[in-house]
Amino acid sequence: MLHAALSLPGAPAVMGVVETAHAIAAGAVRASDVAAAALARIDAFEGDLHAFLHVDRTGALAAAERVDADRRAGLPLGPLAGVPVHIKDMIAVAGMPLTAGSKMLAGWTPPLDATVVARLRAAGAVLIGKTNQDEFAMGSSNENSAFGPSRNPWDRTRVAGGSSGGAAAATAAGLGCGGLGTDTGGSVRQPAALCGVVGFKPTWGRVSRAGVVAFASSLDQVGTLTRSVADAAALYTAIAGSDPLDATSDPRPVADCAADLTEAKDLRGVRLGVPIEYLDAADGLDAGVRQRIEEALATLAQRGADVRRVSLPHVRFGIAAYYLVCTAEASANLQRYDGVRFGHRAALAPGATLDSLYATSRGEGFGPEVKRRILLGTFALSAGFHDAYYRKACQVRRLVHDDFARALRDCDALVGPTSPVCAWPLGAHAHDPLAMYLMDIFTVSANLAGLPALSVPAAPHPASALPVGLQFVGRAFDEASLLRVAHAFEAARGPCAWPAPAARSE
Amino acid sequence: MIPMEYLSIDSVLHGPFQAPSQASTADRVAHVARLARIELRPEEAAMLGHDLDRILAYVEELRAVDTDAVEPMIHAGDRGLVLRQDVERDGLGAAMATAGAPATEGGAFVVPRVIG
Amino acid sequence: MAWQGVIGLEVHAQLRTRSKIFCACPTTFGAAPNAHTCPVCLGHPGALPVLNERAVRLAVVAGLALDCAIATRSRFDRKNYFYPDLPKGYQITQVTAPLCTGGHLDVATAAGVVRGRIHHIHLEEDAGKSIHDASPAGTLVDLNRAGTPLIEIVGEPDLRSADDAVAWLRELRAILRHTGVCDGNMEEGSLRCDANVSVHRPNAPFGTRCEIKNLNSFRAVRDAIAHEIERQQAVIDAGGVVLQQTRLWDAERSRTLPMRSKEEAHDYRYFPEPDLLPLHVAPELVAELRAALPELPAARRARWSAAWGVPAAAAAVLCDEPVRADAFERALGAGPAADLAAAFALFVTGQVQAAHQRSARTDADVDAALPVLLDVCARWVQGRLTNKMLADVLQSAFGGDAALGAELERALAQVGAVVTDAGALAPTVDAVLAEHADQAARYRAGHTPVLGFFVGQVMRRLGGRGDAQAVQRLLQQRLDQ
Repeated sequence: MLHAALSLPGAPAVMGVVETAHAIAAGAVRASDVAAAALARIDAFEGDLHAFLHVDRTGALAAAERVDADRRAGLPLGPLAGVPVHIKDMIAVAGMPLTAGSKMLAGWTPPLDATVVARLRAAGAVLIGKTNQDEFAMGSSNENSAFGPSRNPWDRTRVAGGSSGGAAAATAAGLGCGGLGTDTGGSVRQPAALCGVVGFKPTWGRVSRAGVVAFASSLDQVGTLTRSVADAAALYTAIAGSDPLDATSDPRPVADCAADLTEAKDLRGVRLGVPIEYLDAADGLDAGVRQRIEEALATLAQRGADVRRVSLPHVRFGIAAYYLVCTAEASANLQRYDGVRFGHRAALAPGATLDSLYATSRGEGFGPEVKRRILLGTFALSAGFHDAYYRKACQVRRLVHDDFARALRDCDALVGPTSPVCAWPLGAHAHDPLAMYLMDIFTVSANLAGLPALSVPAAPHPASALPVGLQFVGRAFDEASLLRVAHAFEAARGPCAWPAPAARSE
Repeated sequence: MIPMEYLSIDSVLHGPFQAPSQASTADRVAHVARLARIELRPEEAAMLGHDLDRILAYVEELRAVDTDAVEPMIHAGDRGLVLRQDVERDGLGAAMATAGAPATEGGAFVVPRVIG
Repeated sequence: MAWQGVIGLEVHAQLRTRSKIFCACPTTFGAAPNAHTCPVCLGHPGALPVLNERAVRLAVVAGLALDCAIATRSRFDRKNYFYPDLPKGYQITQVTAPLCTGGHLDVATAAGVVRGRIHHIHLEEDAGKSIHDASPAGTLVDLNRAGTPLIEIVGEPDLRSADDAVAWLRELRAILRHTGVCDGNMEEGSLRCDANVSVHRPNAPFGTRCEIKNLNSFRAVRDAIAHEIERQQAVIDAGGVVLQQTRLWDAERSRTLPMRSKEEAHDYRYFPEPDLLPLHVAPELVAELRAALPELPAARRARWSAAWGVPAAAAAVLCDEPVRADAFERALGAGPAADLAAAFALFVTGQVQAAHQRSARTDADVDAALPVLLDVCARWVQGRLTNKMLADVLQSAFGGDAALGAELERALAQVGAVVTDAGALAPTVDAVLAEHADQAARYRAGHTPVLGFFVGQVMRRLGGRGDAQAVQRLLQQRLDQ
């Protein structure tokens, strides 16, 4: 059901990435109209969703006009020419403020583009703004944003998920064609699942992290939030590939995944493993979510996939290992926020010591969840506890990795739920950090193992009609196969409904 | 491939170091907050201390995992580092480098006086 | 039984790269504050380290020159602490798996050859600079130096005296210079030394050690270690206990002082650097660098000694700086001048160095003039220049404004030739003898030392240009007549 929003001059903005690029390239629509429509939708819904921390009206319109001028001049257009996209506030866009959702960085404008942003610009994309997120990407609900949470477009009393909640909400509501998020333990996939969009996290090392605020370096990966798998492939193809500015980026060539999605939606010969730990034996898995996932598995089997059960015996330790590794790395990564070179500095009385400058600036600048994680990570690395906590977690991480490696020898991909539950009411877990951590139970392992993973909407929850996400995990650096499988599922599932944010907000 | 053992940090490096007493929740929070240079209000310290205790109790489950002879995993994959050529290029310059800084003087960052 | 010092040195050497270890900023010394900075060395959010290939090669070369094993796989770690000149809040270093391990450096001392083993060599980044006294506003932070590539060479506690430690460090510097790893400039901080010092009685376990920092000259190394050994002995003799401390050398007052103990200073919370994958060094690269290793100073000195009889002390001074040693060899060439090598070595390290030290001339200027200096030396050795003429030539040339080589040529022309011809000397000799008839009488009465007086008088009248032997011969001839 198309709601009032589509009658705004922004109708083209709810088209997807691929569709918009084609329409602009073909001259069916002007990039400046697409940008204006996206901005108009932001005007209409942003007050409701709070998906953005910064909207670059002038820059977006100027970029779109350049695309139109190039087209008029007959110049070659990039594959994403005129496509309005949003960027999570973890990712540097030169000239746009970057906060990472934290008061610590309020007022900071990075001097250079992140590599992924430079690549989007080179592909012709129009950058419309920076999306809301949990502070330093630490959170699963967006409630840890220092600037207030994004709200779920399906039900604004509910969370959008996190940490890329703003990006997921914006994508679901058609505020731009899609965007970039970051995924350290599920921060792209989980909000995508909760907002009913596609969230894709490539293999660790596939996409440059240069210019992306570090949370946990060995787990962080830039991902995409889009309304379809084909759109995910298009954005992914534009940003993937080695980067001389990121020594952990992988030199392997990147297949053009956008072109690679064949019309054949057949899954015959594809072996899909269902980890029993993610379904049959999963604690806390909502019954309605379980039902939708089982139906999705049936759909996959109908399309010819060989769906089989596998076991990942160590993934039940994934949360514990993940929260030690990511907090340890974060405790070091966040030491640069010290009030010396950029960002928040506490106002101190004359004669205050350097240590009090550090402690007060950091005490004021960081929110409670960031402090919690820095303290946990600091503890895990501290003398006398390093071996028992951090190093032990890294050993368990190896076991988790090996579980996946074994399972993926016999399966082309693994499949299961993205989140154990649908979007929950704002505030429901706000005072129980551990309960919040457990929401990441199905997503963290792909980060621990460094594997590509994707969440695609399954049928809505039978009771609440809220979105349910189906997660695929693939082999390292074989994003192409993962996207093909997800694309086939999407086709079999049929078209998705899209939310009507304005109607729900009344 | 020659395995590159990641030996125990505690026994190799911390040797004679005595971990401060962390007998109580409050001691532990105070210790790590000092290490992390984060000032906590008393009620904040109490809340975070409580959370830390719960989380640490939860991660205790890792002790049950047999990790003898398991090499800790730091990165996914086992590829080597890609290096850059020794080519120099101008940086941002002092003006841009200090543009976002809270306090500067003559192109340098300013912090409270450090003695010794 | 006497107390004995036990010393191990930890040496930080700046690698001679054009760009920093993890970014492309220049490593040039002396730029305006923060002129050479970028998001990486400023620790901006999102900036990532990318390792400089040349830094790795130079570190491997250092390891090979010091007989270390080169790890085909090594790793970087983060060392966490807060300080304004450490922009990321951690230093990237190598702790759990360094690039080079083992190794040793032998040095000849008065007491024989001393072997100082090397525990390991690792790569790391330098910190920036905090300037404490320049502004009333507080401490100023300049990050130009942040990210300069360093190796840290960690010596075992194998040295037993301050003199041994200096000899070991000097030899280490010569090796690092010969291999092009480091310029060895201690004044600019490109070579920095910390010393771990303890005392014990021979055959007893080592005592508690103190780490002494801020040793930025050979003299500081010698004096600080000597004082620290004495201090520790005094503490123990007075019934006290040496505390494990980091101490700072105060050169002005010749003492070591404990650094203010920083809270939790020990807990660096090391862990592997997740932004850098393991460093793989191919055995082929190691073989290539090993094959390309230049002659090391010890081998060079041995060759000079064997081939030319150059005395050890002079060879050591010349080989301290490979540019000087190369210029020396070039000047000498392979030809007949080689016979002069020993004399030339003594000449360069003696008279020339003395003249150099009194002048404002650069090393490069002197090095470039070595071929002319060899000519000067040859003339002197062959008696074509007298001691006085030589001194005049050096003084005049070093005092001149043009390049030293040109000034030497000018001074040689000016000083002219030595007077050896008896006919040319006779008028002066006769005049002197006539003026000092009384002394001549004394000589003839058997006071032969008076001859020296006459030689001096004649030489003075000749402006030092007379050949002393010829003058003496002629004087004797006349007096004995």
